[in-house]
Amino acid sequence: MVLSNVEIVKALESGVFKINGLLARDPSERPFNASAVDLRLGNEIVIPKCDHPIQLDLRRGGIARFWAQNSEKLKIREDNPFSLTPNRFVLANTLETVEFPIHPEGRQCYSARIEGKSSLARCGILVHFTAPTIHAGYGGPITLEMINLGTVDFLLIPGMAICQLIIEEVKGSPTEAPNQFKGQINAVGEVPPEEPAKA
Amino acid sequence: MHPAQKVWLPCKVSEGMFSNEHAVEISISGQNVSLFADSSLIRRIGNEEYYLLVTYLGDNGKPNHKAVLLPSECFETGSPWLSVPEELLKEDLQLIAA
Repeated sequence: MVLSNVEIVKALESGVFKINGLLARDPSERPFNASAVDLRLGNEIVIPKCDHPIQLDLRRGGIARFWAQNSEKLKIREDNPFSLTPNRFVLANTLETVEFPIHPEGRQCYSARIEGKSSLARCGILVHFTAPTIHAGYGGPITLEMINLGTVDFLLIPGMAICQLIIEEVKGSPTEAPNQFKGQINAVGEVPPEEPAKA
Repeated sequence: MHPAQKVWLPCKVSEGMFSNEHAVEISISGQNVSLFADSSLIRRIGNEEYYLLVTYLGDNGKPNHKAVLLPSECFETGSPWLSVPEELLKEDLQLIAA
């Protein structure tokens, strides 16, 4: 069940989950909508880069390190925003951090979804396009996968309302280990311990 | 250890894509997985020993192994769940540092 603005504030006050850095706690005002709360753009943009031909194979190890080595971090400021040109893909973070803890059995857990904002959608800006779910157990800033599908450049300004967070109750306890490990040959699956990608 | 308890898992770390995160590599029985984790979830003990804060879940049907929930899903398996030898999990890093 999706939480209303009033229920979000009640839950925040009870501490069952946290949204750190939220601008206000009045459910009738910004950043709250009827059943969501807006989050703001953080002050860093990450541009994935690769200047040589690569075929990425996720079955190989070291993928996180590979992307860290093949990306550029950019600090943005209100007076020095980032211009997202059409068809360009970047990563960003929300200014707010969230905490959706897994509570011991019997206590309500929550998860959330990131969705875009209609105002940005009209400009052709996607703030996520495939991974909206904030699972129970997650804590930290929310990473946005952004792309400009519009026809004009779009300024990404830190602090702007960039996405909305929709919060839902998780039915049942997520603390039981999943069945995926039963009968598994090794601990982490069939992952060859080799380099992440080949030219 | 009890379900939902936060425990520490040994890992290797390097710079992340964002300033506030690290790239984390976990090696279990010769197999490697990697993910990004907020820097606040990583502790260094001594010069080279790093630990990642994970959520303990419990038994997973494999002898001497326990299931843990990682801060984010691994690139290599597409899953945030990991089965690890029980002896790797540490409740208190101060005992290691001492």
